[in-house]
Amino acid sequence: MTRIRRPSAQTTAVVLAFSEQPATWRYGYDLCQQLGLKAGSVYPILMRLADRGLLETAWEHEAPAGRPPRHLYRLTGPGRALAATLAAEATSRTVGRWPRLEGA
Amino acid sequence: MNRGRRLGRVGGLVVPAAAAAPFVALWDGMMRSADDPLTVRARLDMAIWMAVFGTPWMVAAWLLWRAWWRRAGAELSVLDGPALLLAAAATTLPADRRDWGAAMTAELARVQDPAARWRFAAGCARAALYPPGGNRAAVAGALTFAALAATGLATDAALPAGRVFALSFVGLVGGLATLAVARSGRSFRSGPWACAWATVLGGLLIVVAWLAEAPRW
Repeated sequence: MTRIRRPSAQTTAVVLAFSEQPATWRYGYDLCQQLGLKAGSVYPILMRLADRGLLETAWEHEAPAGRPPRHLYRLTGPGRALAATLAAEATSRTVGRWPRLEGA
Repeated sequence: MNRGRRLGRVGGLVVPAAAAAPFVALWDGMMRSADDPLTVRARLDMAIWMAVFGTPWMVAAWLLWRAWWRRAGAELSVLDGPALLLAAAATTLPADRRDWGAAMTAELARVQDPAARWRFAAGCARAALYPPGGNRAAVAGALTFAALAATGLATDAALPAGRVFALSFVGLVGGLATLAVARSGRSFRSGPWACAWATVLGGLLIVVAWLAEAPRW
């Protein structure tokens, strides 16, 4: 089985924040505010998660006049699986390495 | 005249002047380093040669500025500080990350508090300059600085009068190369880019090796 490094605490926080309402599209700035993280930390995490197929992205369809459409994010199936694993980890406090999820 | 048009006109004067500066500096350096006092005629002849070589650069720089300003510059001129910072950083994103620059820009448009705008823009700029997987433009920029340092050392040792010209020229070419790399969607590890990097690094190594034996002119 291929193994990858355990996600950082910030990545874990981002994934768990998404998993609170997994079907809901989220905004980048709102995530920064919710987690108290800087954009310089959150956006690279979002990019990595999207690169690995854990996060799906879309553009807002109806933007207010005169403003650009916002980018939306939510977890994919593998992303939700990762969130479940991380949530279990947070509960059990087990330290170790994480198996790569299929499709990730 | 509104701010955008004023900036456009100022840029149209400043950019060609900046392109001409290395040639003026070279002419000045040659005049100062001449062993014998030069006649007015000799100075004029040299100035004409500088104009012959420098005018195409000035025209090219002006055309580039005009094309850029019509496409994006006018929009940038109405942005505030945080938006300008983010826009500048986002332009360095590789083509496959360009959407992320637009995403961060769209988020910034929703932030109203000035201090929060600066904080958010600074964070986004950091993310744009150092995205996961690296930033080709940052690598090209670092190589440009290395080339500038090597050029400075080489001209100090071998041709002090040409130092300003050489540094300006290398800086200009490096800046354009950095911009081209940033706008390119192709991997810098692909064949043509690999050849370009090999040439640049080879040139740097040759300069460094040559410095050890260089005669001082």
